[in-house]
Amino acid sequence: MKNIVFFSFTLLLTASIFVFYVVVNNELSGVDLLVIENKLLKHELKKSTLKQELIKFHFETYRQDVAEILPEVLLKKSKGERSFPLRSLASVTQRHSNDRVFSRLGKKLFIRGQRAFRLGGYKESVKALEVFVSDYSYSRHVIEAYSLLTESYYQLGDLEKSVKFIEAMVDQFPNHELTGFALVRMGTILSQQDRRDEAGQVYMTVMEAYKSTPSLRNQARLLLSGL
Amino acid sequence: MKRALEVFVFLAVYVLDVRVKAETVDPNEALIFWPSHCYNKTLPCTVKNLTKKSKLVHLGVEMSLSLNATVTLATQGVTLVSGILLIENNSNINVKTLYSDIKVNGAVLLKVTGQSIEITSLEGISEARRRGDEVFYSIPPGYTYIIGAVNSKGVADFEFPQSASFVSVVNNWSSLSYMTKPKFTLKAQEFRVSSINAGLFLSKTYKTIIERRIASHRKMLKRRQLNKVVKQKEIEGLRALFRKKNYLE
Repeated sequence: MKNIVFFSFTLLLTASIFVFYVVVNNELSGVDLLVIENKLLKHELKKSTLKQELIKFHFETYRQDVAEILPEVLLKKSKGERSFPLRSLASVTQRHSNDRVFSRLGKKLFIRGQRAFRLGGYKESVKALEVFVSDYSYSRHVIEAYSLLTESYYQLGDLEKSVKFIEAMVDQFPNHELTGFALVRMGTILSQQDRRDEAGQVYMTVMEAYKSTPSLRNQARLLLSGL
Repeated sequence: MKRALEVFVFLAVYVLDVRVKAETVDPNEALIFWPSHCYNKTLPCTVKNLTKKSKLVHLGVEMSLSLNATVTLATQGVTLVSGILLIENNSNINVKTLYSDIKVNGAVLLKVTGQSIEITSLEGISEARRRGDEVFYSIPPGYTYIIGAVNSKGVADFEFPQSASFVSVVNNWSSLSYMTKPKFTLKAQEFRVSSINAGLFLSKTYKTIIERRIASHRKMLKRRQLNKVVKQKEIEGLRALFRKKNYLE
């Protein structure tokens, strides 16, 4: 009887220990610890992101403070070599937002001119594109604007201005494909004015200079043969 | 029995590997604080919201933060660092942003975008002062003011007041508000009326401004034309004099 009680107790105890071990091991095994560590690291990451955001904000606040004070100082010391650091600082404190707004405005103007050109409103197109070319000369659309101006003036019958813009294209963007097409247009203008020799020379130039653009070469060759 | 207990303790000591967690972290926590656990304890206290919306109470004023919005709570008010902040329920509190100071009186929706801050008055007349300026401008309900960075003159750029964009404001407002639906509907209807009135008033103002501009432009063109005529006459006179003097006529 005593043995039965003893064995039963031992069996029960062993089973309990086993169950307890399994439960505790699952709870606090290495995997669980890694999960907890992962959570902690994520939390730390969020915290450091917040700290970084705050530092950025304080830096921006400082920049705005400097920008607020600078105009007064610049008025007093804005001349000469000595004021260079101040002027340099002033250029840093100005945000680039104005540049972005500026470029967006420029693009809008270009699109307006382009749309007017497509619809045949050459006068309107010229009006928008001339402003665009003079005010946003750094824009990447400027070559297209020149090209459209050339064509618009040609359509309006103002050949002198059309040639003026073609020359500007040759000066500023000699290797661009659109300059090649503009030169073809120049050839057409010259041939219309009975200056066939000059037109022929222009077509020859296009054929030699724009060898990599077959369509342009073919067009120039065709026009040359028609002279 | 005692022996069995001893055996159990002996086994337990060798088998168990008890580990203690370093810090309790709630993975679904809505807010992060800097310094840690500073909310309602120390000031200044920076709070970042990580959920769709969160409610904060500071200086007795309830405010709601959008996802990823960050504010710094201080003794003199709140600084909005990023995101959208909604303050409602006739509150009075000072809000600082990178480009402006706002005296909230009523309800406002503040939105920090990349380069500017949009202030929309939902209820009551709040006031805003741009950086570098001393004057506080009133913002009646239904109006939106946009203030940008400090320009080369030392003052923050300030756009002409606009009537609030009803749909976008109400979308932001409804997503952040803790009001009951019937109350919100009522407030939104009032705001709609305010924004329409603001639109009507501003359209009249714009019309007047544009008419003035057109008038001044016409005047300038007329003056130019007149100058042209005068110059033409002068040139003709000179030409006539030249021809007369040189016996060309």
